[in-house]
Amino acid sequence: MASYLVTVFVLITLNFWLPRAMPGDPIETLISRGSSSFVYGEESVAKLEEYYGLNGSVASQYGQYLARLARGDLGRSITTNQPVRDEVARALPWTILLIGGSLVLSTLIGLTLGVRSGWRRDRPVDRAMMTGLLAVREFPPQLFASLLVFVVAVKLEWLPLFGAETPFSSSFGPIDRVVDIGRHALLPMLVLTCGLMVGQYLVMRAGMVTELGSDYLLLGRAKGLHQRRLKYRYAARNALLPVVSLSAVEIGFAVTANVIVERVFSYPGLGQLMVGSIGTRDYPALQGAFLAFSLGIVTVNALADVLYRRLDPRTTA
Amino acid sequence: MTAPADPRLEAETPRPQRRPGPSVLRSPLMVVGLTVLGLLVFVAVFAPLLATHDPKVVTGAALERPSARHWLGTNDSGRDLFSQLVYGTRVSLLVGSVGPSLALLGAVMIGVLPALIGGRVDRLSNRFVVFLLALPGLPLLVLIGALVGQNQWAIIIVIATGGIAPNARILRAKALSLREAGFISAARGFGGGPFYVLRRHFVPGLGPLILVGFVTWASTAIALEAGLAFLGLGDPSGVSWGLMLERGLSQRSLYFSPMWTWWVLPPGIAITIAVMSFTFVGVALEPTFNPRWLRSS
Amino acid sequence: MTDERPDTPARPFSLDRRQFLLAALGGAGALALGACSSSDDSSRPGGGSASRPTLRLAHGALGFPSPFASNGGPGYNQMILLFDTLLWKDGTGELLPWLAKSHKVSEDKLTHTFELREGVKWSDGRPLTTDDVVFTFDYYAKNDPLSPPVIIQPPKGIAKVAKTGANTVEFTLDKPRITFAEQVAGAVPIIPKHVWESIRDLAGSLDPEVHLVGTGPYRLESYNDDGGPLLYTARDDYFLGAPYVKRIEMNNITDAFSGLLSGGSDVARGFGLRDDILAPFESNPEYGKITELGSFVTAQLYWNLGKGGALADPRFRQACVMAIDRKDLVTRLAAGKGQPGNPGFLGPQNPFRVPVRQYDFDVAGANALLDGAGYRMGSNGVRQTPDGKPLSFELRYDNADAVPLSELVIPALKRIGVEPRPKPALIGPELFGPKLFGGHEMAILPYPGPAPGGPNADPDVLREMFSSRGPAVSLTAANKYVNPTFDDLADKQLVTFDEAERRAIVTRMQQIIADDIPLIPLYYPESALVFRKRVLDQWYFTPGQFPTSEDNKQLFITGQKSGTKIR
Repeated sequence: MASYLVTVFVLITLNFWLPRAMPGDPIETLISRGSSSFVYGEESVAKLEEYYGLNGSVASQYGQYLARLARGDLGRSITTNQPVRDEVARALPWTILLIGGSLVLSTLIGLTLGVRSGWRRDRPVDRAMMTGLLAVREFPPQLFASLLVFVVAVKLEWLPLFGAETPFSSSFGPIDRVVDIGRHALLPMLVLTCGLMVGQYLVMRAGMVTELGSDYLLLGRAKGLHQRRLKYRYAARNALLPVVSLSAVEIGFAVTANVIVERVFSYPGLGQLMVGSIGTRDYPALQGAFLAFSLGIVTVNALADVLYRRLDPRTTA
Repeated sequence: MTAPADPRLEAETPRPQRRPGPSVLRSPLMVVGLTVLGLLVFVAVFAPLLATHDPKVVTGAALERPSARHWLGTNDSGRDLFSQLVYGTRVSLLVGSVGPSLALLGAVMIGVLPALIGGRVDRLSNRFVVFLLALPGLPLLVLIGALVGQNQWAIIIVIATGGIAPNARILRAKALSLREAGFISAARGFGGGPFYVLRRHFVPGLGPLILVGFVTWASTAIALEAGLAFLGLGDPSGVSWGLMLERGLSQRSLYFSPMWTWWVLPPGIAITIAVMSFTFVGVALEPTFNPRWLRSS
Repeated sequence: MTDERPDTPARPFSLDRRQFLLAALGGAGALALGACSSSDDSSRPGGGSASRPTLRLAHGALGFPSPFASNGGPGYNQMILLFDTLLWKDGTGELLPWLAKSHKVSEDKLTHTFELREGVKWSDGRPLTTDDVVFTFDYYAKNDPLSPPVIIQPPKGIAKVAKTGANTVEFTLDKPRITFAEQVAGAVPIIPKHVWESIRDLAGSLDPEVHLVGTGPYRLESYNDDGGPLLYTARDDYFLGAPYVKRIEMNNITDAFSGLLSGGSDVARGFGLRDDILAPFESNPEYGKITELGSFVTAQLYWNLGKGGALADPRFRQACVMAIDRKDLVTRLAAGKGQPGNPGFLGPQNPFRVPVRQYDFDVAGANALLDGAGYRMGSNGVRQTPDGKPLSFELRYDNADAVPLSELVIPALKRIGVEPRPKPALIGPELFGPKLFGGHEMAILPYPGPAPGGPNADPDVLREMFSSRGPAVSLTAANKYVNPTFDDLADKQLVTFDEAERRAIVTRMQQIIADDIPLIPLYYPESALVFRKRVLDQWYFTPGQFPTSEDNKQLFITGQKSGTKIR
């Protein structure tokens, strides 16, 4: 647990330093929005720097940063003037919905298919399934998402075109809202799930195959236990261990694909926030999004660690 | 305690590993994978002969449809798309070879060596690896990518760094289990020097994992290049499948016209095929190093 | 889901199949529920009753729509739905009496008197008074410079603003200013004194309940975030009457034309549009289209004259312009719909534009010009100045939109022995920073039109772009271009009220900059706006491109092109 805390602290420091290492100054960006009548003088630049805390030495900025963090204050976005904490709080649930939902879906589907494939290794079904799932994962998500948007949302009009909810839908009743959110999340989640499925599938398949060769299964068969019981109660359960740890590993891929998917679907999650603030060098927003991502991943890893230890009685502290 | 183990780390009894036998090379996955990779290498090497034009020169009108002159039409400034597809193979293979090489090299340096040295060095480097693993991959890559600017080589290096940590963890675990195994001290007892131990036990033990790690990261690297290009990193006027894809997808109302079929679909399929063939090879290699696999048939 | 061959006889119904069936049923159920589910479906096209439509637009919030926190031109449009100005321009270009029911100018042109309309109320119920008007201009002046990214900067040159009667306000200027009515009275939003007099933090004041109190025709019902959706509902007690468009929804739709097709938006606009994008709408009587030329310039090529050397030599710049085939740029990048950029800067539909040197595409001529100017061709194909410096310059451009442009401009310059070193940069500080503070050599930069002012605007824009007496730091103006003759003329046209005389001055100004060519607009793609007729059918581009281009609130309020009468 201590190592996780160290990680968190280093992350926080890295988070502070990295955006500042990027070329370009955030203040200059704001000026880009103007027309020829839009002008800046030295005094206004200074005023802005003071407002956003960019003057003073790096050490003092760091001190300010830590103090603010302790208070839960993530600063104010340079481009929108909103508190970053609010922006992150607004974006985070959507990203969790997408990533969490896809992890769950992909695990369910991947596992089931993996069990099947593992049980029947190297038969045509197994080969076809593996090729199919791999193809679906490796097809670039930006292209897949883009195609889906056009075919499903524009041409067929089955599902909405953009966003996480129908705008101005606060008048919806709770069921309607859930359905609405589901409809908006369906396509992005589909793309993510396709990418994640094969990971769980392969692991389950390999695990099944490994388990199939193990001693106690041999014994079980010799004793005459029913095939299905062997398959699910023993083999699958043991194969589940690596699945749990895979989820933690796959989160990296999930985050990657998620950022791309959020872009294509205009889904207002953390990925959109981060990519947007990179272009404008909006340091506070960038730091907020980055921090949220990092802490999220650390949390998932820690949780997976705990879960793994509970599932596997063999591991000791 | 360390982060959860990667499933590729099997809790199996360590024993001297066999090299991949000929039966592995005959498995259909391996055959298909290697064939496709060979084809891609061929295209990359002979690109100047296979391409119809210089991909970085405007040779036709803008947004031309496929024709006898431009087999996949032209892009929005007038450059030939087919030639971009052909030359793009080079970048992808470069990313898929240099990237993982650097990644595995780094993984050996911060995963294996400290494990062999042991003690404080090992503990420190392990902490470092755990920390690296906790970093949010893509967001960090995007950040670094924006830092290094629009430079293809820089992107390759950035992608490579993403592969160091996961492989370091796997290799370290294996190195540790090998170190703990009895035969090391046995070999030492017989008077075998460090290089003997290294050659006879560590290399065959780690070699396969490095190979699999290489192949796996190669496929990830190629996909990552496309992802980073989509988010705006990489030399925008350069030639790679990811950039072709990004430029095509950024055309306004792309699907109103049929041009997506010859502009974005080919590089999309190319990426899929390249990545899949690396993965096939990786998956085909797996069973060799897992003895229980063979017993299950 | 195909089943594998059973290897034991009489296999019972397996868990797998059941699982999948359940999942499939669940999925189908969710979709079915979604399809039945109701009301404000984003896929339903805008409608409402025929007499008071709901309008959907395809871009989200651009900053918080207060006068001090909205972003740029489009942000101004969102803000001005909530606030009002003394005068306002309609589709014919006429400045209508708005908050002011009359406007008088003194003989010496120094005093402008406005009589306020009676009975106008702020959205919190308090009445609008002359105190608010006086306060507004004092407040702007006091808070100069305004924090970003406000588009309307405090008007300069106002000596005094005073209340001179129960309902009248008088502006006294330092010097006469021909653009005062259009650019000040017709653009600066009046803010309530009782709200803003105690506020210090302008950009951080983001409370919709407090900081959006205005006299404007609409009320903001919903604001989420920058980029998020906005919902405006009409104020039926508006002083001109209940606005025609009852409700305006703005959503961030990446592709407006897809949005128009699928119903998420009622209007889509673009420039230099491919035929296939317009095709679904051209043949369909449900949609209408309007076009305009010159309000938008995709990009301009800038030289930093401050760096000296060849960059400061007009012959070098002229040769560069002659080497670039601007007509070909229109063909390739704007689907042939547009015009090559004008060295005299004013756009094709600007009434003040006159013919000037156009520098037609002529590579041989460009080479000859450079030869004659003493730039010898080196052995590596790059020319050198007489003192041996190569004509090699860093060329900055936006790494997304300007890439095709760079792929055409760079080879063009290479053909005359100039070596542009490409430096693509992210839009933002990397791109604009050096330009702003004079650190670049050459740059292709997007010209932020149609923001207030542009090639089709009042010719005072020439002064803003090219006068060295203008602001020291500006994003779009020419870099370190100093021509005292031009500067004098620029100052003069601002105070010239005789039309013929002003026209003559402006003509001369265009000729000067066409000769000196400190920057060149590359091409004007045709702007097209496609709209759903059923919702609103009188769309127009505001003449003079100021203070807005399309999305003029006069249209939303009255439903027609001119005047204040509501249809």
